[in-house]
Amino acid sequence: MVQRKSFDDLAARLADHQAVDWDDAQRSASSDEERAWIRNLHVIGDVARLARSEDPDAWVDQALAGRTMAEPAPRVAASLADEESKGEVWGPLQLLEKVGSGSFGDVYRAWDPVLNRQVALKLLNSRALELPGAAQRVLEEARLLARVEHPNVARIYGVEEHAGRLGIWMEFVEGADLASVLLERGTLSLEEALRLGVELCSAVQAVHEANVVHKDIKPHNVMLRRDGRLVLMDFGAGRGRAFREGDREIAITGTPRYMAPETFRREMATPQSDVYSIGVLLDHCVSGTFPVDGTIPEILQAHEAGRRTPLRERCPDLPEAFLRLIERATDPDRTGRFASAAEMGSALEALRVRSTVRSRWTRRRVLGTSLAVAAAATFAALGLRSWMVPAGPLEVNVVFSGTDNGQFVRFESGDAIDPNTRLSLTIQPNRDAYVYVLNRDSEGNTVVLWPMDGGDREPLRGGRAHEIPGEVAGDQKSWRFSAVEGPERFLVIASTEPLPEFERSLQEVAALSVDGGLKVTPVGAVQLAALGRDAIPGESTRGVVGLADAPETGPDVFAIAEKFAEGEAAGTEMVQLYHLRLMNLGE
Amino acid sequence: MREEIGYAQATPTVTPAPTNGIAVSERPDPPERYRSSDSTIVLLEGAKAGREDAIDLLFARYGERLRRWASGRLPGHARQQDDTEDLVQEVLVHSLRQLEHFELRHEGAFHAYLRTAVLNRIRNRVRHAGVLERAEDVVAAEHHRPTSSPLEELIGSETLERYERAMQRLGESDRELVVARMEFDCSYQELAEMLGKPSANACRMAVQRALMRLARLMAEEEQRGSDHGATQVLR
Repeated sequence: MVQRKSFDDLAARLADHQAVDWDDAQRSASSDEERAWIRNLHVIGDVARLARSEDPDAWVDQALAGRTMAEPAPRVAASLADEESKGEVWGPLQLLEKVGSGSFGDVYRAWDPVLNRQVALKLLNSRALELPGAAQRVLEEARLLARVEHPNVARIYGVEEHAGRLGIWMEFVEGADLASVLLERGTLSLEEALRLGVELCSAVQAVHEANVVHKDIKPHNVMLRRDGRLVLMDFGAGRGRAFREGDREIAITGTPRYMAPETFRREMATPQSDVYSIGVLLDHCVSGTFPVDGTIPEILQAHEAGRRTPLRERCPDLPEAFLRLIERATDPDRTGRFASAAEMGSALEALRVRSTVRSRWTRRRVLGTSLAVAAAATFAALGLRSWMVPAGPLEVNVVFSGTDNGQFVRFESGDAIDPNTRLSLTIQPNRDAYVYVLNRDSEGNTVVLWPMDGGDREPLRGGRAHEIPGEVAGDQKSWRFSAVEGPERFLVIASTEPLPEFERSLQEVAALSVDGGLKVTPVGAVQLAALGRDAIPGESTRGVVGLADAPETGPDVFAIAEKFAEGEAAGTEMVQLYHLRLMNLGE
Repeated sequence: MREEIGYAQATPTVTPAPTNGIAVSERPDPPERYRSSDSTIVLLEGAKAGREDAIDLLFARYGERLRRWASGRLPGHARQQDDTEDLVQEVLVHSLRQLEHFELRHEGAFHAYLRTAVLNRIRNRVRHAGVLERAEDVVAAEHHRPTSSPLEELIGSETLERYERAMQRLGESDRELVVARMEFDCSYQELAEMLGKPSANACRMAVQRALMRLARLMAEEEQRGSDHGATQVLR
């Protein structure tokens, strides 16, 4: 079965107008129903993408051919579709799997059998090379970049042409790209952005010293390795594309929001053009917005008219020195910018040192526990984002799903369930979060579903989807219902900090325990009616609310939660609540 | 019956999301001059009162979005730039004339209304073109004019019909979310403001849920289609 997370991811990427690898999604499906679901999401994506397209004919041509014009393609080039590529050989490399695709071509994880190492292979498509001399230019730039040895620049191993496709293979970077991190996190803190900027400037300077201008610096091309190291990818590979503006045909290379104004005028890209892109990238990291935004023609017109929304208007609370730095980097006049990426990096580094000293005295306390404590814990726990300080409001994706008479469904408030229904929760916080899940049936019986008594009390890792109850004592668990007819209420609380007061209240409530039963509360005469392992082989579910007698004086945890959040948690943006109400039809 | 329950930003209250009942007639006195920063509801109020500056701003706000949307839905012979703009202009003029006959609860409802109006206008035009084609089939054959829209070329007319049927069955608020975000490219922040949602993030999650529901309805439509096909065979 497709992981529920996969459905969430697909819907999230569609909603965010991100590229989706539909072939990959279809391969993950294990039933006709799942395939139909994915196929229909794909249709929705196509309809939506075309509705937003500047040039529907061109977009359809390219979509049918296997790729889109302005964003990574949902379909793979037929000649090297992933299924076919497994075990295939391209030149000196064995293709292992396709890991991405875009307007330039496809990227594969591949194996170099001579040097016994994993590599990333970028196979450029014909469109990427359609401009006169493009293939020669890619070859020359790859040769220049192969000389670059820098910890923040992906190492180029080789470039060749085979089977009619030009390929560049390089260091395979395991981690996440900055675009994905921003998608999860929203924005970065100033401290994070400064640190990222310093490393990025260092990388770009190394590329410039090899006499190459990157031309497409954007979050998608900035990888964050598991060990925290930033790696710059995709040098000089920005593909030219044309669009119409009135009666003019305009060709551009790069990603419009990040492109310096002069590059729209078809002036040659320079190191200062890359400095502009770094400035926009850092601006976007802290603001989530852009100084110049819109469709390609709108961006062009804005540049021509000198229209922009400076960062200080969008985020006036940022330090003046940082605002000035970004303004300088993104000066429409290239002569007003930093002379080099190295100079910009030095300015960022100086600001970072000052900012770090100051922040020691101004760090905010939330819910009585210093964020610094959480930061230290997170630093220790996280590999990929070890350079980040947790910041920004908590955001949580919550999906209740399961099987209803053998069918996989997502449950929404108002849905009906019965004792045959199996339920579980998928939760994905953007930051590490302590999660509490409670259930109450129509008779007022309340059970703490999570954390389970005797189970792990650690926070759930941010940026990952977690299944609850998930695997317990080696078995995959889900919840099932008693035959008590009436509404079933669920309450999910996620918090960046543990909630000791609230947890103390929960001690008065029955809780599922990891040993397969229910921890009976000290309050009320709670008896079990439908607990124990389920008869369905391999599922091993437990009763959620199979309590025959309601506790006479049990606390109303829902009321406690309300009181808590209206009190000390209000306004912190560090606590998120989710309610679900299902209708139990009984036997 | 389903109900939407979103996140409460840092408050655990079970208070539902703000109601979306913003009535046009409840707005305060019109300003001396309308601005591009005014909400659609405010501009519609001005348009209703015959204010040309409000009408111009509405055209500026929706014209390009609708043109883009329509151009993917029009068959080749009816998709010249001028034709598409004319169609969009007709719809906007007509829609603004009809304003006094309905009350918009929020801006998202106006998006959905315009989409339906443009779609109906396109269908009329295609039907009309079909009649002309039959009358002048020799000319049509000589010019090999494409009769399907780019969208039909991409996903097929049956799939497009299935999508539209599922959209019709989708709940009103879900439909407004899908139209505004997916088809008219509104940002989550815009959505939050126009639909009265508590935050951009709440909108993002609401859009995701709406997409899942739309996909489920499309699957049902697909099933209905195949059931219908089976029945036809049996008959």
